[in-house]
Amino acid sequence: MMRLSAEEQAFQKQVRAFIRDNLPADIKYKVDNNLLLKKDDHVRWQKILGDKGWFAGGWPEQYGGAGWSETQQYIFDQENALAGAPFIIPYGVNMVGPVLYNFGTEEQKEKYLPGILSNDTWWTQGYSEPNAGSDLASLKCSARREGDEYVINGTKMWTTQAQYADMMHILVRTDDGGKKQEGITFLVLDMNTPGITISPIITIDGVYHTNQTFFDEVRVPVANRVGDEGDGWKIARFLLEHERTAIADTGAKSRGVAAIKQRLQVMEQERPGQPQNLLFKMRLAEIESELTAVIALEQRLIADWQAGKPVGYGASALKVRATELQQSLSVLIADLNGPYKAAYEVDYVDQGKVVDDPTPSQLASGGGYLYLYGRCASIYGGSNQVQRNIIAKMVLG
Amino acid sequence: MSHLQEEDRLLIQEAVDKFILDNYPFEEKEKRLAELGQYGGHWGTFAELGWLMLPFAEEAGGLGGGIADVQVLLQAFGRGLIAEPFSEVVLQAGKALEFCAPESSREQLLLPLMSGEQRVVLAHGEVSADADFSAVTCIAETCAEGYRLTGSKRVVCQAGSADRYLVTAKLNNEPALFLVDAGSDNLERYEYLTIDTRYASDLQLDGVTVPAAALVATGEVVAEGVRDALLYTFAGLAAEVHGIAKNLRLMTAEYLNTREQFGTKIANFQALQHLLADMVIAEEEIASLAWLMSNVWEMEDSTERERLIRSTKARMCVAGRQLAEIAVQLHGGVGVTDELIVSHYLRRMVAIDALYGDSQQQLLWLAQQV
Ligand SMILES: Cc1cc2nc3c(=O)[nH]c(=O)nc-3n(C[C@H](O)[C@H](O)[C@H](O)COP(=O)(O)OP(=O)(O)OC[C@H]3O[C@@H](n4cnc5c(N)ncnc54)[C@H](O)[C@@H]3O)c2cc1C
Repeated sequence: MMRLSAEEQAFQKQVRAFIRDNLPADIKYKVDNNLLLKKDDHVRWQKILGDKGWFAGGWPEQYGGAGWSETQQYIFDQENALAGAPFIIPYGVNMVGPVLYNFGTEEQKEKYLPGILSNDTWWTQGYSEPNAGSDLASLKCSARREGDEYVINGTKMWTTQAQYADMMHILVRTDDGGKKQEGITFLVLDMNTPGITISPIITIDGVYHTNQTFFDEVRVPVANRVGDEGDGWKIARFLLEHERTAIADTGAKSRGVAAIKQRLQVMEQERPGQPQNLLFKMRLAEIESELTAVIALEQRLIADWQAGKPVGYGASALKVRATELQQSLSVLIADLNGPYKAAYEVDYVDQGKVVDDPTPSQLASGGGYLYLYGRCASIYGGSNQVQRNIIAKMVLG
Repeated sequence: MSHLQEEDRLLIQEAVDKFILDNYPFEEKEKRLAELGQYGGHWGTFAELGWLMLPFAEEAGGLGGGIADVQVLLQAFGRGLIAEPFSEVVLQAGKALEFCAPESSREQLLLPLMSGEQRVVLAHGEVSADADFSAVTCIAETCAEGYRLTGSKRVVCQAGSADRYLVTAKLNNEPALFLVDAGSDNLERYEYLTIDTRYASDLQLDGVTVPAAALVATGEVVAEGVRDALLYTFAGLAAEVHGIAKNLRLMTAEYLNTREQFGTKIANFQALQHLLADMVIAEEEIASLAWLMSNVWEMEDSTERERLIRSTKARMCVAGRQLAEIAVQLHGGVGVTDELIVSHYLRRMVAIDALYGDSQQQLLWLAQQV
């Protein structure tokens, strides 16, 4: 088990109290009921954290962060999720931010980091393409150099939250010859640049998270390139490694388990001694024991990170188990609804207005949303098949 | 078992295939959803083609088809994701009427349903919406006009499209079955979307009065008849699950042979071959269960029949959902889009599982027999 120092314990208490006192009730309602969060919800919460100096806490102090250790970051993420606060949207703060302060020029840092910190600039990630998913390195969206500009043509698939975004970090192909990884370049671009069109993609849950984005002669200054031409793959690898641990999101799973416990206690009171109750308790116990292992794995990896040790295939193991667990947890939550498992009020999920006295079908809809959207988790962030390939390759050589 | 001539069955098969081709392009699902809401749909066609009469005895004015014949339709309905309330009206409510009503009124009660003139859905489920009658708390009392009904019915699938509800209640503590007009006073209906993008409703009956003639039957025959109608429905739905499973497997195999990543067809990755093989194994199981169900109704031993049907409901829903989840996974990102039918098949699987006792509840019933 992760042992916390006295300072870390004090920090944990402080975070817990702050979130309890400052999390807006309407946002907590959505999280507690497993409803879709909108940009405004995220921005509001992230700004509250920003005012406290806790948004981007893991960034170095010189760039406006709090210089948190990995452990502090972990404590914060746990407390944030346990309290029913929104998941921190990673595209700006956890992805492009660290890329910029590690690989960017002084001008780039000055220009972009403040907007990420203040949450006034919203980012989207443009990497995948229709024919470059698992095989990301085969991406084709091209950037042709013309004087001081790159001219982008092509398309990016699954650009989540592009409909909200001011900026995109994008991988483009600047060179067709040689190894495909070597011809990739990392750019940042303004979503208002002429020639960009966004086409919504409705997902399995019936709501709008993601898009296909098209580029037609989109002109981007060469000054928007991060690193050198051809550095894109290296930078993307650096960044995706950051994404992989956040994907475990174990705090949210612990919150889910706690919520199920409460529900089962109510069920037991309402209809005591039903064999059904015991079946559900057994299933919950099974999930809890799996979660114990996932959290232990996560904490071990964090300790290794903090000690500067390589984590190897541990990150892939974590991604696979955490997403599988997320999926089985969502099945249990949905099953608890009995016949209402069939109910799915997509408008309620989508609009997420606080309803004083939700109907059983509304209450059940959050479970349906968790289940349906949860199917994506074994696909994005490197599919679970691809993670297993990584593991096997590391072990077998 | 099929009770029809081989050529009649082939005619049904051809008709339903043509119907789906002509009327049910998946791409028009939004439009159809809107139509389902107001109700219209293709019910007239269903009636013209004789489908609404298919599973009813000839003495009652039906075509005398067996489960195997109904399965011809349902398998196609699974493949085409047909949202018309066939299983709700014809199997759940129609069979409940047939099994419960006394012979003297059976034909007269079924005729408007079979002609398509009236849609009736079964309103039976309550807090725990299993097929058993024991959970029913809705109360019927005699009154001057006939009977007064009080209680609530939950997740009544496709209630919005019904002219009448077939309501289960307790009358003097005896099981009883009533036909209640959808527009009755003191009857409130709250409608919502279901996970398979259809509709269901919760009904609140606050002293709904019905004439004496609304009582279809009373006594043990109602408890057994309603249970049997639901068991009959499950047996039919095995074919719907099979239709879904088969199409998902076909689509996924085709996708693996088309999609390329890392410079090769993804069908060449053994990890995916094995997952596809798992789909095929599940499909084989489901096909076998559907086949088993096709003549389960002819069994003499009704206890054994119930055991087989509930085992089937549990297993086909677990295997079907796993199969559909693999199909989604193997399609990658496009598998989780609304645009592709694959995600909708998975959603339908969840709805079928939830219907009158999900797999866990069926297993619990089986466990309690041990
Ligand atoms: C909801 C959602 C949000 C997303 N958001 C973003 C985003 O913001 N930005 C972004 O850039 N991308 C995003 N993605 C894209 C995501 O990263 C890709 O979907 C993912 O990489 C898989 O690619 P694909 O969809 O093309 O599937 P494919 O790569 O075509 O995979 C199809 C199937 O083949 C399997 N497979 C592929 N290669 C192998 C192999 N070598 N061995 C065994 N199996 C294999 C996969 O596991 C999968 O089952 C998002 C995706 C989703 C679903």
